[in-house]
Amino acid sequence: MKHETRIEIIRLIENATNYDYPLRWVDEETSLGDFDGREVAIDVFNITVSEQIDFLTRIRQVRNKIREMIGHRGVFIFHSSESTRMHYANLFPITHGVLLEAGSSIRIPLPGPGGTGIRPVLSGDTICLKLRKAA
Amino acid sequence: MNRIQLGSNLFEDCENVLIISGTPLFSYKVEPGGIKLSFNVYSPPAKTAIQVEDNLKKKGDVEVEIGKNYAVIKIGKKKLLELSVEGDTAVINLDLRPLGLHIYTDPNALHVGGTQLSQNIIKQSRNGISIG
Repeated sequence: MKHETRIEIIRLIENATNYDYPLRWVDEETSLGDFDGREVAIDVFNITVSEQIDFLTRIRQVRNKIREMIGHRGVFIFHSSESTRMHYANLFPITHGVLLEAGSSIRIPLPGPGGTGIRPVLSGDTICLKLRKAA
Repeated sequence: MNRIQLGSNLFEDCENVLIISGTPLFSYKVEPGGIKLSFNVYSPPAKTAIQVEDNLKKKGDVEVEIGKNYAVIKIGKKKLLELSVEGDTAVINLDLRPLGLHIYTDPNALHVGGTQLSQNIIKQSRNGISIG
């Protein structure tokens, strides 16, 4: 599937769901296991079980279009907030409790389609981090 | 001292709290008659450009509601930015998802795509958070 097609499909879903959930095409490096439709599967993160039906209802209007574009029924893999935190923390970095002073700032790339996989960069002369003891 | 709280992050004496693709997203002034709010986002990166200057809509299909201590910018029924001022601190709730940008706040954090920023303090910086 062309890269542009993948982006367009993510955009269709984002518009239908008001950008409420981070999305990405299933990645061979971090999504293990083989299943039918793997190449047309999309991860949907931070979604509760009760929201899954609503998600499918909201994208009903674009599902046929997606099927036409990829020649296959779209497959959605839902991840709750707990499993997102547990298994995909690398996609969702948290910057917490940092003190930046005197000209320091935080730079973040503009999120692309799906919104996952970007990292903030702290820059400046005075950056204080709260260090915590590992459990 | 000028303090702004955005998704549990605190900005003290920052000229621009949030910049998107080189453009400061918002600024405000507290005047005797009420708040004067400005808001600016271009397209791209947003799906539609929005420009509000001192509460006056210049671009985009938005509504601006102003009170003595609060200001809201809405697109349809959705609030893009909600600002309330108490003393020297302004609290801002932000949701740019209706504009096609993965940027919003909840009480715990500022979310930019999958990135979360929470309980950070930025002091005396020209630009606090710069996106894009």
